[in-house]
Amino acid sequence: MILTTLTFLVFVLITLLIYFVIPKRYKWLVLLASSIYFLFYNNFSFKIVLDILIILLTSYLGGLLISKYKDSFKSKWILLICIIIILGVLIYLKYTNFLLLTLQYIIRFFGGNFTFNYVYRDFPIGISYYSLIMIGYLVDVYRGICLPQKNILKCALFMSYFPILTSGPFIRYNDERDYLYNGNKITLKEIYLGIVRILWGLFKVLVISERLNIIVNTIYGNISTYSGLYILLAILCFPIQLYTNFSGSIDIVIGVSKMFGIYLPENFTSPFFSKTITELWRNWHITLGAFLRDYIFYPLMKSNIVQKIGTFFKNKFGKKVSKKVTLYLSMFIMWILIGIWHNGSYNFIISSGILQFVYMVLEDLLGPIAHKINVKLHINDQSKGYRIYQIIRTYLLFAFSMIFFRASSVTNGISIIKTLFVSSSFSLRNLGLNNFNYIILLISLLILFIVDKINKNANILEKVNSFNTVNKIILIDIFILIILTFGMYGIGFNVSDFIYSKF
Amino acid sequence: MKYLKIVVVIIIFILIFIFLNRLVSPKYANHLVEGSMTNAYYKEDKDHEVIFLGDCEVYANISPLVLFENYGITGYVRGNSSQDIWQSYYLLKETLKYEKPKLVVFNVSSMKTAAPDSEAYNRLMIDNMKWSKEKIDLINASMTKEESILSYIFPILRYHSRISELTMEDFKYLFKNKVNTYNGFLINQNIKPADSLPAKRELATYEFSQKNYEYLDEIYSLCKENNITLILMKAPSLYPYWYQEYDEQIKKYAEEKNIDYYNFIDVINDIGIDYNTDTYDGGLHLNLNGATKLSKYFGRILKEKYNLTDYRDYDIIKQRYEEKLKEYYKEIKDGYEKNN
Amino acid sequence: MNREMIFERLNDVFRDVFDDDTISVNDNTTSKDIPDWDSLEHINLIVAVEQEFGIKFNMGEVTTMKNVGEMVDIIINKLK
Repeated sequence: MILTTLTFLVFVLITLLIYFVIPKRYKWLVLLASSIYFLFYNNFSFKIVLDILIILLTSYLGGLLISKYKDSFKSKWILLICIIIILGVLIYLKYTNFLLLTLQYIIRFFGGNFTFNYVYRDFPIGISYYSLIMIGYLVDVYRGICLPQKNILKCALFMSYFPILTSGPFIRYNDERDYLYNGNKITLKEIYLGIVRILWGLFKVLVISERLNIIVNTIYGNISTYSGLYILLAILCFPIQLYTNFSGSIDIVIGVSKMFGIYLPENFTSPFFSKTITELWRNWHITLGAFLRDYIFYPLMKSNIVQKIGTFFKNKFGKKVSKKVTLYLSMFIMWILIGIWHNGSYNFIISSGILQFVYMVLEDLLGPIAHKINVKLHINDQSKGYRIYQIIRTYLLFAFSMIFFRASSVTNGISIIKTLFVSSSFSLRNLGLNNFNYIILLISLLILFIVDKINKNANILEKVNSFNTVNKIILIDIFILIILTFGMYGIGFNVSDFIYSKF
Repeated sequence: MKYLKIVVVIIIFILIFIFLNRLVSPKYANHLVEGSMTNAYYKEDKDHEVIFLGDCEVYANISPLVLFENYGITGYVRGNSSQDIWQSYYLLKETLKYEKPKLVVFNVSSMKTAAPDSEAYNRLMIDNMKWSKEKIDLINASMTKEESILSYIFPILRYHSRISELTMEDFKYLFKNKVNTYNGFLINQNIKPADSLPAKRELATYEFSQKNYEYLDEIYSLCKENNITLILMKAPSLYPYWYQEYDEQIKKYAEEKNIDYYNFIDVINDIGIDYNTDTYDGGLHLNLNGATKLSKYFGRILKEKYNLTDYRDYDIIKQRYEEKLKEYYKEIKDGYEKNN
Repeated sequence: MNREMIFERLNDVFRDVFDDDTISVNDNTTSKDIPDWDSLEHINLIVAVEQEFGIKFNMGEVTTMKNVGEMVDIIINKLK
């Protein structure tokens, strides 16, 4: 079920109505029933049920056992086995081709001969999200941050909570437990804020992202015809397309949850106002970053092997070098994993892995040098002009890395970069949008810019909530009319599936 | 006071919403005029003695004004492009709410079509139809798999992308519909001789579907209940082929139910149709010339056999039709001059 | 070791990690109060504190401690 369809909104409405009338202690069962329905809506087969049950039973029993053998070495082994099982299912379903391809590269590198056939595996919706979420849950139980869930159905709800299945965000058991099971009272305020959030998400996806999608698809789909400035245009448009699509769906997810009284963590906080790539990633796909930080980066940094490496470098080259080496090593591993999580193919490892790592290392190393140069040249790097320069520079660097995100392969990405330097004439006509649509696009981008700018320093939803009833209704009315009229949806405009739901 | 304001805001919202729905809907005024045919009927004085029912083979081939001029027959064509039999049924039902004709003539070519096949034809026929129970039933019977009735109720869901392609026509015909037909007849003066026809193909089955027979039964019963004589016809055409097997099934049906059936393909020479000059699309439909010939031929049969009134003797009606005829011949003259 | 002594030693660790001799922490100090204290430096800090006091935080403690006060509580607990 795609989040921007009427089907989904009706589905949410029905769930909400039942949730509203059912007694408090049974409310969570409504969410569970809806989640199961959602889970199997597009895809129902014995194999898929089995995949889901393996992950559910592993996490449920694992949680109980880890807690039972707490403070004994057994709990560590149980955790390890559970993680291997869950990752095993995930890797088997989604990364078989990636592993085979890697194997092929390695064998060919050593002069061997090996060719594999692509395997197509059906996988359940949202598996990239809940397999990691459940590993997080088990680790939290192991770390003593939370107690295990004793009711398997409640455990199933945490795992399959339907709004997050298509595009996240990552959730933590401790944060959502009470919201999910307590049977929240539905309040008018939360309904209102939820609706506004959903409409804002729909606006981003249907009005902005889908329009940019047309431009980007037209150009990237014909790199034999388009080159030079056209490619530049596509490169510059794609990050905003991705952002409006992904963060717009997250807005819908958060808005829907809010109506049920469930608060989800934010996943984007005006990322394109960041002055560095490091800062950008603190505002982009936040929950993934936080997840990997807590469950991979920290343990890595604290692990004996990294510490030993640190000590080794400390003794030879001093503290500063040692600090950088351990940091970069752990960062490198984390970024490779982020790349792999996005998709098991090398263009994703380059775009959302290696390139981001390289950017951050360069920022870390060159930042202090740049500062010194600025001081010498009497450039005020706290001035507004300099900040704007930094923001634009960060966007360009990010846009460059996203070439490989949009490309179908590494080779495709490289040929896109090559065509960037082939000169060509330029005209905005024949890119699939007429003048009227360009105007709509520009105005919408301006609205997005203003809202994100306000959101950078304040919470715009609070302002929206301070409206009186009449203004609230006017706001919702205007939103609905704009989305219905200027959104790109339905027959004729097939809303492309969320770029992220294939992950 | 607060509640009053809320009510006002919601009413304004609904009004804008209705306006936007109408704004983005196709107007079918000067382009795709086939979309204006269902609606044209509502502006008509509804006292016709004969209703012609069917697809393009009626609205292109039978001109009620010719029938009046020559025989004093008052007729109306309720036909649309590719009108399926279930659509004919509900359109007849709607018509009977407004008037009670003596005769209903149903063109049987749509018996071949077993399932809804094109959203576009549905849209042309249904978009400008008045809301009624018949319309809802009609939509439900007509929709292809991808369609949803919601997009008929709220056209903005289907046509919103037209917001970027609005023309003057959309504003001019915002709240009115243009009538492009003469009693349901659409004038076409082009000539494209029938030089070559596609080869006949073997079909897997020539049997009409059970569903279509049921609708034909429904049409039959509806006429019977209302004391209307039902007549079946098959308009002359060279293509798409009206196979012998089709014809036999209709003949059999007509015999069983004791209704008259006229297959004009058999009498093309008697009518005087010349497929070098009387067709606008190489033998599928008749042009104005051909339609005039067929109307005169069929009119005589109707007049002689079914005891129809000669309304040329009634002044009010005569006056009305004379005005229509004046416009009719003016458009024909204009069209003729444009072509030459 | 009493709380005050722990704070004194902690100040040294913080100044060293963040390269800032003006830092002085108290119970309510959080990552918001020290500009460089982001998720990367957090783990460096943790490792440095571990080395200073010869203790090991477990990962649950690493990800849940909300301010320096809580950190000191944990340290006192571990030193007992």
